[in-house]
Amino acid sequence: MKSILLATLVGAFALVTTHAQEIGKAAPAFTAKNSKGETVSLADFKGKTVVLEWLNFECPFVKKHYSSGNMQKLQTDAAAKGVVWLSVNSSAEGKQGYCNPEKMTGCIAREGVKAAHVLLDSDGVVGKSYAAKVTPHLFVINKEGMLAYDGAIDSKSSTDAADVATADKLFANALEAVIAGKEVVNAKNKPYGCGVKY
Amino acid sequence: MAIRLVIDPGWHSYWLNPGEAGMKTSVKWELPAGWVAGELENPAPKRFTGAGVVGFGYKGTVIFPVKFTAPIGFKGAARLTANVSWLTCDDQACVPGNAELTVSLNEGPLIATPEAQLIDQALRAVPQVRQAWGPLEVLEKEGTLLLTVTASGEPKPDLGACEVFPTTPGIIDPNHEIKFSRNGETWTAQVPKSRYVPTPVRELTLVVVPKSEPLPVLLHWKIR
Repeated sequence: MKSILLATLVGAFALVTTHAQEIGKAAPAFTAKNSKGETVSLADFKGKTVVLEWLNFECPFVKKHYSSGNMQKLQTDAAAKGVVWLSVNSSAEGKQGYCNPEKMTGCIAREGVKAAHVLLDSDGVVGKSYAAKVTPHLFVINKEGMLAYDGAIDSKSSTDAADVATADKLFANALEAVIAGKEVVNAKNKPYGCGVKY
Repeated sequence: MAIRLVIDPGWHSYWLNPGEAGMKTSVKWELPAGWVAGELENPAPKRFTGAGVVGFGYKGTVIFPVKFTAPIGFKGAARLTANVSWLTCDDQACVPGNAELTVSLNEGPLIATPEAQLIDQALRAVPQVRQAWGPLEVLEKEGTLLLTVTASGEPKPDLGACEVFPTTPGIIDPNHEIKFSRNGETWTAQVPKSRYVPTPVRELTLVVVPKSEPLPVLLHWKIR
């Protein structure tokens, strides 16, 4: 209960009970508020495949995937296959990409975000428990609650939307494998992007 | 030739291995038939920490030399166009940039331009393999990497007084500053693996920057 006590002391609204972030191990549990002010826990999606996407709408690498429609398409495809997509904004208050619920609601509408929930993690508790390094940084959690992917959205570290079409679809391939119950070939690779603004 | 990037105070751009975040500077060339552009040569970087994220890159002015090969029997004039893309960040934000640069060349004798000296200086700042330094060996040991450099040539290199950067991304945790210590005829450093390290590690390139002289050294290891 030590972590819960600490989280309460710093006034956090996200609670973290485990700190593992290894492939094949239990994904760290968390509870956070979404953009509508509702409480969302990883435990709510027991038995489902879950995607975590780290988000900062002012980061050029994130813009690349939203302006091209790539991220929204991935979100829509995932939802169609019963996958729960959680976008997480870990920008601290006063840092680039920080959104209060009202601003985030506006961004969701403007960008056409198709995630099941957008989580507001301005104290960085969820981000740090997964050691989310950059935006976008993608994780996949399988139906058994085990971490199955930790890495990049695709293989081309650029801010050019034209590169989306020709990049290796590292994340999409991994998600497909997880849904099919197959082993993920490249389960851990270095994500590219802007540093998360903790 | 070379591409010069002038970065505003407080901002930085990135090296070949950008560190935990960021993006290296890259260029797409539009060249006349027969012309070949080499790699954009990156000078040795500096280390910085912005908002808790470790990066490798440049502040101020950075010059990237690039070597061209003209077609055999080149006559007349050639127009070379570079589409350069880079990323600059400060502690708060990241802003991508790009520019289209064009230079026209005419056949004729070599003439030193005012920039020639700058390009010469920039070439010296690009890490090179040097006889006295190396070879580099890498051993995986209990979740860490044991780096060993046999530096037996003359003058005797002092790896302990060098800044060391991993050129190959995703092998060594960028948060760890690599420090070599003397171990008889060799120098060793034990470093934590990056969480994204492939198993087994197949290749590693390091850049070693001596504090006492301006010439950075390239050390390369590949699994046998």
